[in-house]
Amino acid sequence: MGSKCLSCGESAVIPDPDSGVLVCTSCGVIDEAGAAEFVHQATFTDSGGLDLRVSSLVRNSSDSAYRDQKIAGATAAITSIATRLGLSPTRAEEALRMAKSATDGQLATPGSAFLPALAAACSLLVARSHRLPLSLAEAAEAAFCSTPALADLVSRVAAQLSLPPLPCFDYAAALDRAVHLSPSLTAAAGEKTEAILAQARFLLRCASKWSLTTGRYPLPLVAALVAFSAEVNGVTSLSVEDIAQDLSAGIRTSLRRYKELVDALVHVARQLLPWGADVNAKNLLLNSPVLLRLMEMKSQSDPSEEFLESFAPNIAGIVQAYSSVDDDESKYLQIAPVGADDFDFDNFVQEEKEFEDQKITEKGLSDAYQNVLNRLAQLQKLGKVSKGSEKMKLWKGRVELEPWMDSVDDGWKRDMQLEDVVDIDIGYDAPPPSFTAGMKLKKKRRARIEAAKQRIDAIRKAPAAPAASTNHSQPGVRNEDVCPPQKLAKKKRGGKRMDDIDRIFLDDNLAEMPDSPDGRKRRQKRGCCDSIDWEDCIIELLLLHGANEAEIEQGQYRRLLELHVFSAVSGGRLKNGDAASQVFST
Amino acid sequence: MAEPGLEGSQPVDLSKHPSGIVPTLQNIVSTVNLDCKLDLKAIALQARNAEYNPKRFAAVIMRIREPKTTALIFASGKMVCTGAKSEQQSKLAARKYARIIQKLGFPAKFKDFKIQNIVGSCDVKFPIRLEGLAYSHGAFSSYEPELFPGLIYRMKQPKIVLLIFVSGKIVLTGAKVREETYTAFENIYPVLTEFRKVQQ
Repeated sequence: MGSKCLSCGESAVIPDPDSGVLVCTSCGVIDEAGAAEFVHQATFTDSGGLDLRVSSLVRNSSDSAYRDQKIAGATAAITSIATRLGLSPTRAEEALRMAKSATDGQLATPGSAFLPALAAACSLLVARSHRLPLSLAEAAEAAFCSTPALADLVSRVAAQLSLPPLPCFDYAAALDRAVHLSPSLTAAAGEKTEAILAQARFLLRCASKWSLTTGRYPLPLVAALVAFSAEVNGVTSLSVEDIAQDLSAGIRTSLRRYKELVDALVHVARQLLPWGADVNAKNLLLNSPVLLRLMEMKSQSDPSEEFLESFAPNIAGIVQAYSSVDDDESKYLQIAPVGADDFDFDNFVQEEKEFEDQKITEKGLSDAYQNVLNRLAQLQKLGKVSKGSEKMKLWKGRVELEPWMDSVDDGWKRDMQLEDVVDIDIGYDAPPPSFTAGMKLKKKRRARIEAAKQRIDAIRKAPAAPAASTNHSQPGVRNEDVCPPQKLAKKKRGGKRMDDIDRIFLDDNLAEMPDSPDGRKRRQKRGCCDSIDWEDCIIELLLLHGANEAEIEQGQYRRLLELHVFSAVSGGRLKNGDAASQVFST
Repeated sequence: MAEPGLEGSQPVDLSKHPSGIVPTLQNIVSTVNLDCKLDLKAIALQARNAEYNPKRFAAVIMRIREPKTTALIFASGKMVCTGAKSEQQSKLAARKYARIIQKLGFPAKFKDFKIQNIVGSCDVKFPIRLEGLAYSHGAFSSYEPELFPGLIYRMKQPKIVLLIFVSGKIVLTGAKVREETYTAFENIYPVLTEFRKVQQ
């Protein structure tokens, strides 16, 4: 051992094998200075790892002061981050406790990147367990780390503390928070904020019905909803980008969600509004107040078809009695069941005819608000409505209504889970956009497959005679027969360039035979050839190699090419390869 | 003239696949022990289809075109072969890599070939309510739209992980034999139909 003894000056200081402290072999003095840094051998486990339980005991007083300081700094940092993320002092305290228990009371070194991440992760866990609307993106932004990194830390903390599975993201609360905390919206909307929020909530329910929420980042959708309802309420100074920036949502994604929302609403307008055919994405905003109102009405009035049918004459009275809708709405609601019932409309034949002339459907009738009011006034004059309300009393006596009405009322008042929310009827239902896109693509591929099959059949069933000997007697037909195999063979190597080459070949053929009698036919054929792209060629090739059509429809060409075309081990390859070569050599 | 392949798809064996859908295999990962120490630098210098950057990754990355696969060859003689579309292809590819190594002058053998992972996918052709599925199968599923658009379903028996997407597309991974993939799909299919998004 090379270190000198501070007491006797001799360089005979060695670590004591039992206690681990540095001892001078000459004078026996224990070296104090070295003791603080020394980690006892026993602090290493058998496997060679550091035994933290023991090593943490080896500390001097200055170390403890540092530790206290470190913990105090980390505590302050965690509390401040938790507060910044919108947690109340109690919740911030809870987050701190969680951070402490996750790190065995060590927390993290102030100034390190881990501390804000830990704070954000614990805040997120606390917020989520109390159903507070804190998004991962927001927390990651506060912690200056990436979202996946934070998510990883969150899952590690949750696993360490064996926390129960967290409830899913609360969209409704996130919407509330977005509206109330967005500075640009509050500045621009002023008193309209509440109206915007209410409409955005309703639109959220619709969006979840149309699967615009499933599998998507929540914040961009929230931004799109808020932006749309702000526009509907006449706040034109705000753009989707502004709100997306306020919410730290992706701007492009928000714009995309906005477009999806508008598209869906246009579809609804086409179904619900009598003038729906004229509604498009551009003039939707003009129609949207009526449209949204209508959708609200529909969602309130139509929880289940059977129920409506059984209560057809009385729905308006029920709604009037139980729900919080105002008089105008209840009047409006009255008309739908009346229309559905075999009500005596003799007095309104003319009016009815007028509507028929305008091609307004039964639904459309109920949508024309003003007309409804007029008709109602007339109905009331004739006393028909009171007749209906008498019936209502009878019905009311028979069936327990309250549970159902409560559920309707609750739907509007409390924040519902998305899963509860999706069962509303707003007159239009749409599959998820990804599903629709997938179906469209499949349809296209199916059409391509059919076309490819026809092309192959045309080649196979073409007269075989001209191919071999009589080259000059029937030039037109022959050239058509010969060219496609050439083309196929080339297209196998793929690419747009090949298309050009084909065109050149065909052009050459035409140039050789300018006076050919069926020149026009050939030109048509050429047009047809031009419309074939690489995808058609691959499909042809796969069909020739016996690939499953359903699999081709899925569009996984690369996999199929490897399995069927470029494969040496596929069992049927040789046979099918022969078939293909037969076709090529026809 | 016989027209193979143009008649349409072959019927699915319903006793084996009651759902009528057969997951398609997308990737097979296999390992093999060449049972000799390898000089990766020499391999990288001699083989045209190899890349080796010891600073980035401590293995030679070698590719062949048929079957189109990629292999990671380690100095210990262990090799990982990825990218094959079927078990036979994977084995054939691994054999081809071993042959290449042999030709480069190493006494490579072909020991302990094993399929380590099979990835399959399929489409149930209806949209799925992921929220409902996550809620009622909370013990097995994890659905965090903030992180990943799909629902991650960890099936216990067979031990397979499924990625379920709202569009009805399913990815199954973690199988060692293709039957596990098929069983996992047949197990999950009734659950998926239960959470099918019904159009009104």
